[in-house]
Amino acid sequence: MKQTTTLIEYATKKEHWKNNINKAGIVGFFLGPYGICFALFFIFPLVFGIIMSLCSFDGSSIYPSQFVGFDNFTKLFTNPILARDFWKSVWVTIRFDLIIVPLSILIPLGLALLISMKPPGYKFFRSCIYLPGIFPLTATGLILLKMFDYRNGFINAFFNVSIDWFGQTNTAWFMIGLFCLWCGMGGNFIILCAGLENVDKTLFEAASVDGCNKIDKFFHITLPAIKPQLFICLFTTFIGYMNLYGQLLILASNTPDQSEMKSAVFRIQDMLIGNSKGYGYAAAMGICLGLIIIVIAVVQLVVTKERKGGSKHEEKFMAWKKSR
Amino acid sequence: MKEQVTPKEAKQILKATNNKLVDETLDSFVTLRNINKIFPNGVHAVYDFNLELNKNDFVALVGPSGCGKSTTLRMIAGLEEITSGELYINKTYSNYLPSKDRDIAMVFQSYALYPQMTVFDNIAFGLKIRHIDKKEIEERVFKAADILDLGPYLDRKPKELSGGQMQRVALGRAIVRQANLFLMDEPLSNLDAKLRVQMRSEIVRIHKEIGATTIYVTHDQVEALTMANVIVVMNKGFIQQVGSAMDVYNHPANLFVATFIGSPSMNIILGSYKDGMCYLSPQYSFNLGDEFKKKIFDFRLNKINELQEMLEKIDEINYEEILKMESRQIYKRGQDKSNLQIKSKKTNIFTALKEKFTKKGSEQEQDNQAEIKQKITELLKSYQTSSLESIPLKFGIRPEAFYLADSFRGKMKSPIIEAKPSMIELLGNEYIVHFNLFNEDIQIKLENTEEVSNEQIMKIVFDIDKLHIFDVESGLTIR
Amino acid sequence: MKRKAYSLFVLAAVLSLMGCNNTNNEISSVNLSDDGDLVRDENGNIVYENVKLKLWSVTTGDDAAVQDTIINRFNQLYNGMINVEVTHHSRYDIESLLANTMNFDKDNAPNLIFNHGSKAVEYANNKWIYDVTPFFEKSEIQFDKEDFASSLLDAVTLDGATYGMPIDCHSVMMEMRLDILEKNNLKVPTNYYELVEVCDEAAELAQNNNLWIRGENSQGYDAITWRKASNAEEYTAFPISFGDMWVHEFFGYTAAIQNGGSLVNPENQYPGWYSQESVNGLQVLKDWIFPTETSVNKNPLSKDYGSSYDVGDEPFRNGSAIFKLQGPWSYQNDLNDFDRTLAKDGGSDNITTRNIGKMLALDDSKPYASKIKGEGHALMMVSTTTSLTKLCAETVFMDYIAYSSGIEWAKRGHIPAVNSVAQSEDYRNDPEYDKYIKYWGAPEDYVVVPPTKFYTHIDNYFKGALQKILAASFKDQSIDSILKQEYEDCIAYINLYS
Repeated sequence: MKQTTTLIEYATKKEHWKNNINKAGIVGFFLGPYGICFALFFIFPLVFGIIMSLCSFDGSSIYPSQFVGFDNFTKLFTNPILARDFWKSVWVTIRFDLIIVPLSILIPLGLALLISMKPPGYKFFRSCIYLPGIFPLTATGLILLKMFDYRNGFINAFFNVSIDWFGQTNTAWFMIGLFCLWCGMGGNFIILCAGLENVDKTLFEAASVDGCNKIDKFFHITLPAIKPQLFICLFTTFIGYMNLYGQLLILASNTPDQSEMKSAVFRIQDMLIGNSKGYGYAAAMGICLGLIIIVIAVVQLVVTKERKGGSKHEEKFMAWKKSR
Repeated sequence: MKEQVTPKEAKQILKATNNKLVDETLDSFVTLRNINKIFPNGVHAVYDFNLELNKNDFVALVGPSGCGKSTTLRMIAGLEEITSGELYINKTYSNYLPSKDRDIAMVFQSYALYPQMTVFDNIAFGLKIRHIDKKEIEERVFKAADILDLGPYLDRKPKELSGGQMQRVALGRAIVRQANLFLMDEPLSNLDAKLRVQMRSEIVRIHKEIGATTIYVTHDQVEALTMANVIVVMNKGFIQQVGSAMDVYNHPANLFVATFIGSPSMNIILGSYKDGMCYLSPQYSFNLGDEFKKKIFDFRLNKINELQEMLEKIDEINYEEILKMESRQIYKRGQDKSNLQIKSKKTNIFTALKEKFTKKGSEQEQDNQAEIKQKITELLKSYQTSSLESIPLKFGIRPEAFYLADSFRGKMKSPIIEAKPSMIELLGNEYIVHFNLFNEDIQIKLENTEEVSNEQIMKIVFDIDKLHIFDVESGLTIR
Repeated sequence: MKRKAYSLFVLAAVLSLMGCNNTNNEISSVNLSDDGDLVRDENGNIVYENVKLKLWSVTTGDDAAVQDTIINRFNQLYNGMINVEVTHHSRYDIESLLANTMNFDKDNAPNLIFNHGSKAVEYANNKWIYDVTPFFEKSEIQFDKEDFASSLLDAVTLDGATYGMPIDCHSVMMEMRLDILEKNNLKVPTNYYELVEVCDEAAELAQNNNLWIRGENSQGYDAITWRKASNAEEYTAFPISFGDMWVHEFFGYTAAIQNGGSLVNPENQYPGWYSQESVNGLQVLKDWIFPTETSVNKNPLSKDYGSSYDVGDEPFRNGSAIFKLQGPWSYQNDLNDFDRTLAKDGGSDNITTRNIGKMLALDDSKPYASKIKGEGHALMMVSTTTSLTKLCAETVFMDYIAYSSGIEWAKRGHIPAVNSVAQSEDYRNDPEYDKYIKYWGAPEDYVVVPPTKFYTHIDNYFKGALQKILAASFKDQSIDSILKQEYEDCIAYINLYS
């Protein structure tokens, strides 16, 4: 008797196992390539980066030479030159972000609204707006350098002004902002365009009957309807510009006051030139920067989360009913 | 209002009356005169809509899909431009007024609730926009919530509500506006059957309580019959009949109204009339008396005169002139000029009109004139058949007008029809029995106490008093 | 899913820890006490048979072409014995390429590197290159250290060991429009004061509408006809811009050196450019663009080019400048250019060239007044080579390049590092030498950055200071304070890493 029961159990178990392996095999087959890439290019550098930030380097090889714990991090806060340079650059980056992020959402929003009215030729304009984003950063940066050159540039000659665009920090930042906006408009524009398409048209009619003018309609119907898209734009734009580097390298290398122009990633890159002694500090800086970005992103998430309605109206209603 | 004034005087008058033109000569609350709607692609959706509504009326616009009822409602609401005609709301000329100035409240088919606002805010939105005092807003909203039983839901967002609750919120939004005219665009079509019946009585109750004039669009004739005191039946852009529920049901003006109203619909049988006798089939006939003879004679005479007039007019009047006059009128009524300047065939209203009257453009005008002439002449001929020949007629009998021969309870009994039922449907309290008679599928309603069976031949009669007779060519009711 | 992520994490951590434990690669050292794999003939001379060597060179473009011809000559001369295969990389690529190869791909490492001498110390600290002296002894090729320019040799010497053989050096040179100078009765300047005099006078002549210039420009003037310079704006005879490589690589350093400043403190390899002498030198450059009441020049010698990257060739060509800074390898092009445009009136005789010795010195009697800051190349022996035959063959090659390619290489603007070569007949009898090469000075005139392991920081911070000093937005800040700030930052970073 025992034998037969075991047989049935065994057969069922075997079938179960086969099934599971089959399923796992399929999952592995499809997820495998991505999983390997993810591990290789995201997990491994992240873990190695954390390890690097806990070690020091002696400059002769790219591998860490000595485990020093949180020494690198404390140096980031206490060593005068390191702290001054790094935190200044973080502040410079955040300051730039605060200005560029609203512009980088409002201008594409305005354009998306214009396009959503579908004027003649709107398809052409739509592609024109997205086009600058696909051009390579370096090439456009160099062209911009030549156009806005102080002595030989086209812009200065055409408008008959004599402004050293890249020579002073405020005009240099203006140029960086211009460059970033010009290149980055397309991405947010596409997202917002798609969002605007999905706004329910009958809501606008109801609002007309309720008595809204165009501005009211925009604030009460359009904006709330594209809230998810706006949030995506807000997140990605902010995080993207916290990692600002390429534009600065190309446009602002010749600006005299470099400490005002260098962003956080720029300082990290500076740690990597020459020999490998600075790798530990670079890794620590990178992790600090990452943590700051995470904190700000979480703050954004919390602030923009949808709230439950509460029950204040219901209570008031009960009170009113009682008083009748 | 139609006198000639100088621009300066016009400006002063408008300023004095706060940009509203009031015509005191009207005594109805809502007046629509010769309202036409032609869409930019040339489709003529509403033809010559004329209607007068008194205060506190509950008007239902019924008709099949695409008959122009929603378009009419939207024109009254101000969401569509009126191509030609005049609209007076509360005696004020409202063609050009924007929606918010027309003193209307609208309930949409898809409720159109603002998704990010709570129920309270949704209802209060219209008032907030008009900068009404907060206390007043609260008072009104709570009152509406009380009427509609929305108290527990005031803090919820639309996505947390069921269909019926959303509909009530939409109603509440309309109520708080305290408008004089309510417009409802198929509000119950998104609900399930039971809820629909429930909401129907709710709407009627609210109408009694608040007493505002309501225009209600629906494709369900049961709703129209139960809720409205004035029913407007529409088909293909034309008004078919305006009247109370009884009128429309018992005295339909034409074939369409007769078959549209009533469920199951009226049985239509093609028969003939000759020499005083009505024939439903060569074997089955009955006499309707001299009264009917006169009626049908008068009817046909009228028709003949009408057609002869038209024939004469065709020769006299220049077609081009008619077209030009019509299109100029429509053109003048503020139609967007740019639409006319677009050269494509579809968007040119003038060409669209031409296509309506003529087949293709002005070159074939002469041919088309002849074609129409020929059509009218043919019609004329068919009416002019001598009274000795048989005239084709359509006879309409409602299912309720049939009785078993033994249990006849009507006014005038018809000859007995013997037939075997083809199908029997039990609806709970009554039977619907199908017969294959007179080449048609005749349905009759019988009480569930009667004896019916598929095998036996039944003897049925109908009430001749309830017989409707329609003209085959025009569909108009003769009796 | 959580478990999967966790296991991935652990895997990655383990892998990276493995990497951590990977200590410095052991460089196998070569035993010099015996002959190794050397083959000698009956007389005791080393026989080279089909020795293949790989060379990585930092030259590109035309320089690379000339170097290839020199190397081909060597290969033909030593046909069947030694063959050198060269690959050229740009100066920006070669550093990372070398780092990657020496760390991960030792099998593909070259045998020789032709790179800037300033890199020798860094490579030596990484143990990537050999001390060359013992190998020269082994192969019995003479390495006469006295014959080489001292600064260049010092640059590759560390703790008494010589880590490469200097081959050449170059710097920026200046060109001048002889025709404009002659027409306006101005003389060719030989030192700073004369230069200032010429430029001031030209500016004043131009103000009074009396300065004759010529040159093709966008308003339609042709190259030959003389015209008066307009007085609509100041005439600046010697434009310079910080963005220009000439200024930030050479001119700035030269200004400091010619007034007594030094670049590196020899005792501790720290920066040595913070001194009153450097301040004086940089003041010369600041006055160049922003003259004051106390400056030697009354009028600016150059417009403020701000963040513009270069002055370009246009001002020199169209006559709105008399002088320009240029790399010596482009001089041939300019000669051809003027030959073409001014063919009917002297062609290339209308321009000439001089080195910038004494051109920035406030006191030209001092010995350092004629020094020019330049950059030199050296041939280095990579430490991955273990075969003694190859190592000796390398020394043969290095000797050939240093001694037998002088005049050709000089025509590309690279002055030979060997003094005897610069004085040889071959070198001096070449017509090109007389035409212009002679103006470019002798090897001993050139100064390169002394060996220091903090080269990158010393270089970057000096250039940062120079950028601020020449910038209009920092005009009101004293040179001393700017230099001090940069110096302190530099020291702080150096201390951070030690």
